Amino acid sequence: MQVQKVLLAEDDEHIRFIMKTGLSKLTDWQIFEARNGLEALDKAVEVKPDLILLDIMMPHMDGITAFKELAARNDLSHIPVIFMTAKVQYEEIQSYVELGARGVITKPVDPLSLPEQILAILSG
Amino acid sequence: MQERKAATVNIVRTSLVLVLIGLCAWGKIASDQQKFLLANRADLIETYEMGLSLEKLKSRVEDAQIAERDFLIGGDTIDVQNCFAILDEIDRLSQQLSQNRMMKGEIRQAWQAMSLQVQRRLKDLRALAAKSRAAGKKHPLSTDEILSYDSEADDNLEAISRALDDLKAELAQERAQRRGLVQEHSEIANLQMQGLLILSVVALTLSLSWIFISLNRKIRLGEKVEHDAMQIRQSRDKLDVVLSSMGEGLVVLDSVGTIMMANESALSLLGYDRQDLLGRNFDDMLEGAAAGQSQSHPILQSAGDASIKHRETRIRRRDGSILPVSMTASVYSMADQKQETGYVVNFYDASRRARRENHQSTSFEVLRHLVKHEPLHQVMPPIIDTICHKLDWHFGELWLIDRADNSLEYFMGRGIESDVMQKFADSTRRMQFDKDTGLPGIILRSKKPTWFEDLQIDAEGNFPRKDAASEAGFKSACGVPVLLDDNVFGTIFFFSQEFRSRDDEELKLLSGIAFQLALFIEREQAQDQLIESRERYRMAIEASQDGIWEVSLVDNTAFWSKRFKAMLGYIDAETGKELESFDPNPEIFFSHVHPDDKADLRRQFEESVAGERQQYRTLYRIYTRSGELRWCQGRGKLIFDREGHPIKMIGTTRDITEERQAREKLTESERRFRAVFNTTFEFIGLLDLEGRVLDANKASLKFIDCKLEDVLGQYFWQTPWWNRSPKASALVQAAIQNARQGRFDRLEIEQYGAGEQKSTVDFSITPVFDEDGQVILMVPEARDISSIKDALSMVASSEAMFRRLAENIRSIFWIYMPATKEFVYLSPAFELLTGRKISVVLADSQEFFKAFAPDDQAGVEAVITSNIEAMGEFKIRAAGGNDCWLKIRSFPVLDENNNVIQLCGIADDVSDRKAADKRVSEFYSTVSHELRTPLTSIRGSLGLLEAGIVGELDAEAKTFVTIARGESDRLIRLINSILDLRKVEAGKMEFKKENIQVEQVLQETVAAIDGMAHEQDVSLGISPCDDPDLSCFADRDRVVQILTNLISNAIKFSPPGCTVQVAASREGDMVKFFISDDGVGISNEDQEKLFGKFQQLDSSDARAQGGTGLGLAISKALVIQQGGDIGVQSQVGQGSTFWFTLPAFEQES
Repeated sequence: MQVQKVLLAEDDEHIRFIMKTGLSKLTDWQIFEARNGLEALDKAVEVKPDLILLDIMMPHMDGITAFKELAARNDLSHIPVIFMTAKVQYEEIQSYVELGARGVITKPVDPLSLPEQILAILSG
Repeated sequence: MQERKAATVNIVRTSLVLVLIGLCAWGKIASDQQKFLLANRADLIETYEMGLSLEKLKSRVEDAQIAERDFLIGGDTIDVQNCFAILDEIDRLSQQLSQNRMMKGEIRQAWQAMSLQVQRRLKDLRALAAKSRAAGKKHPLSTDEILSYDSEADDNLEAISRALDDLKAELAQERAQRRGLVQEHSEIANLQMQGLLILSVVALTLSLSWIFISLNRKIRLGEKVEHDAMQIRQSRDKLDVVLSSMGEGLVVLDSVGTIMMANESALSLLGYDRQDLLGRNFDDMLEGAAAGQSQSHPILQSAGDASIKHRETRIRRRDGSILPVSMTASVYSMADQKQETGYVVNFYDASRRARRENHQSTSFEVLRHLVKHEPLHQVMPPIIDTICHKLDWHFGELWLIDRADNSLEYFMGRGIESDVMQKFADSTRRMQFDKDTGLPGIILRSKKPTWFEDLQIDAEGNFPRKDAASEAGFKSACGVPVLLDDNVFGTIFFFSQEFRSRDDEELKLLSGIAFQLALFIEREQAQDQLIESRERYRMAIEASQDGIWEVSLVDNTAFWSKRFKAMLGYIDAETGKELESFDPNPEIFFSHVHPDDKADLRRQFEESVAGERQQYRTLYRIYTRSGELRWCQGRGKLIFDREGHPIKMIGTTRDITEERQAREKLTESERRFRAVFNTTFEFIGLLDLEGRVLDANKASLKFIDCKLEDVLGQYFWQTPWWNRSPKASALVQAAIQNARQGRFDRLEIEQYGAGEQKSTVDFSITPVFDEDGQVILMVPEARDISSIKDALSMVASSEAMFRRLAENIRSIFWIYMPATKEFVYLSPAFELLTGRKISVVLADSQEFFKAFAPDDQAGVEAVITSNIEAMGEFKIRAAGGNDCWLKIRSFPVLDENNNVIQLCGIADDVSDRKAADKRVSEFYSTVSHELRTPLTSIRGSLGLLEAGIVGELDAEAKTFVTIARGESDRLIRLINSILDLRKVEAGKMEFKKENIQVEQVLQETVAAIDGMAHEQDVSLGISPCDDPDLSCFADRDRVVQILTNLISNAIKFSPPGCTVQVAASREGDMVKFFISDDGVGISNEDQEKLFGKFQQLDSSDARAQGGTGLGLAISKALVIQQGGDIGVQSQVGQGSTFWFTLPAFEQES
């Protein structure tokens, strides 16, 4: 799968900045940002990203809801979604996978190894 | 005297002949000897004569020599002539001598050599004389010639002389031999001549003796002839007397049969006087001969036969009557005539003998029919026919006594073929007399032969068939009883159409025939009885279920009945078909007998045969032809003949296998019954119809400390079981009355035992019926129910306690029956929690499951209905509408055979704990989230900085950034460890257990961590496993995690240069892992807290090693959660060995 556009939905500004910086520096992917689920939905409609990195706990619309919305839309349901979460308990991660997400990346994330993690999940 | 003389004559005559023969032979030998002697003597003389000739010849040779020498000396031809003459004479003499018969062999050779010399000398001399005559000289010969010739002449004449000497010598030798031979044979010849002389004397003597004797005999012979003539005259006189007095008739016939002579008897037999008879032809007297033809009658025809045979014939007397005679005829001729000259015929009256022979042949004929072994009705017709024919009767009949009514029954009658006979027979056939009626009755009454010369008179009015007999023309009759000893079988009767006088001989004959007939009838009746008996015997044998056998002691043959053969499997019992031929040999039977029984059976058999016992009876086993083992009961009995000798063994063999099996079953049944009867703890007995004790089992007797004899025959209600309680006794008696009426009765009653023993019993009495429904026995039974009553009381108490417990605890308790899939009990707590009626759930178990959340209902049912212990937590809808969590545990209740009979369960409301768990979980989740979120920024920033992604840092700054990044990593590990530990302890860790190869896991783990060891300058190694295929059943990732933790700890806490060794081995059902180091070691005190949380022994260590202080705690939790254990063995300064165990294989839950 060819990745060109990545939508990064993360409410924490620092994290968003660090991850965008890392991904931009380490890959030639085009990074789009969203601060919550609603923005992520709009951005997704707008840019039709190849991948959405979706934080779980976000204001206004959390990642779970946003994922369900995406899945509910025909034009967006095909976009692979990788959850990013600081909730790493087994049952939590299991529930995210069961929703239909392509994968889960637990925080803290090492921006240096993030592209490898993403590609591994997408190819897996 | 005459004989002695004759013998002497014979001896003399024989001796004379022998001597003459000897004389001839001896004379021949002596003659030959003399001839030989004469010849040899002649030869001897010849040799003498020849010797003289040789002398003479030699003399002439010397003369020749002289003459020759004179000629040579003087040359005078006269000398030559003399010489020639001499030599010619010599030659002639030699020619004569050569003819001598003695001239043979070596003599002849010498003579021929000498003759050649003479011839050659003559030849030479003639040549010399011729030469001299030619010369005409006085001495024409030269000296050399003379000398030469002279020397030759000397030689020649010398040679001739020597030859003559040789001849003489040879002749002398021959002569000497001849002389010796003649001398020798002369002695023999003398002896022979002497012998010849002696023989001649003997022959002469014998000849004289024979001549004397012969003369003497001729004189005697004359005397004898005279004596014989006198005797002949006397014999002729005697013959006349004999002929006239002999009983046989004798006639002498001429060659044409004319009677020449007849004796007195012949005249008497023929009825003629002598004058009338002589001159008649004898053929006229012979019945059957052609008159006037000589030799026409067979008697005369056979007269020439060498053997004289009597022939039966009949002669015609003068009065015309015929007389049977026995006659022989022989041809006579005069001594000097070769041709027949007449016949001598002698004959005698054969009428009595013919009659006797007729009787004998009749008797023989009858006997011949009787021995045919044919039935009486087939035998009688030819017998009657024979008697009628032979004895001139016209009708014969047999009457037999009917043993049933002692009457006489007409059996058979036959006569010559005519209507009247047939009519008489038909009229008689249906008759039956009593034993005094009719002619047969007369015979039976008297039991004697009777002759009725005139039937009409002699029947004495006792002749019912008088008219029929008269019609048949019967005038006379005779009858004899068919009698054997005193046993009368009937009578035999014969009728004649002529008046016949009583003939006692004939009656005697008929009596004999009647006796034979009686024997025949008795034998036939006996045979009938025997056949009937045999038939009954055979039917008995065939009908018998016993095998029957007979063994003959005479020839050791055996008879086996069909049943016996079937018993041994040689005959199909169903079809009667023979499956295999069975050799009737007793040994064949013994070969079927079981080896253990054979010797005993044979002994008993042989003892019986030997007479030591007359019969035996024994049990034994046999193997049938198909190899099946059968039990038999055999009996054998010795049978004797009339003389008391044993002749056979007869016996029976009964197959008692089924009977024995049935008896064994009965015995076994009885034994089992007795075992049950006597070993049961309950009272059981047997009563007769009166209620008296017939039997009682041991338990009941022990209860009252009595023996059966003590209560036997007592009325049951009066026995010690009941007699101490009038009420109980009355109740039992009433129950017995009911049972006697055929009714079963049962009651609970107090029963007294020995001492103060007292029981409450469940008493019953059962009538026992026969096939007709009549009560014949009664069976009293009593079961001690005291303990049951106590138990029931305890159960009731327990039930009350259970109910109090189950109905007052907050937990829900139930009992579920897997067989019926029903709840049989559900505690009220269920209704209290859910508001659902317990009765509804008990009626329908699904109502129970419906109380739970829809997603959990299947899980609940699985836990509750599982036959194993099971547990689960499920959400249930409470009566108030809110959801509650129930922790359900179900466990099976097993019977003594480990069969599940019930499933009990209990459910506790764990809603509060679930809420607390949720809160804790949320707390952990939140804490994790809240810690990780800033750490993400921190770690990410530091990572970017350290990697120079956002610009290169100077070295000092980079050092600090690296420190910060490392700490943030440690902080992340700490958070992860806390979460892991919590997860494991909460049982939330999911283990993917599988069979994993221990050595492979060790190698992979060590390989992954080897870099770290290398950095620490620690040597890391694996000890090879004893079993290369060693495996354990665990979660592979978790095993790697535990190993990594322990190995990394060992590396971290080992000084550089040390060694860390990893190993694993099987210990029972577990696999034990070892991680050994030779580091500083751990004190016992520290070992106890080593696996606690945050238990790094030295905080400085922790800092130095970058650990979280949770590694061992997590490892312990992981090991324990997988069913293993973990520990350490260490001493300070001697290194440490950490170990943990995991199951070697999957364990049952």
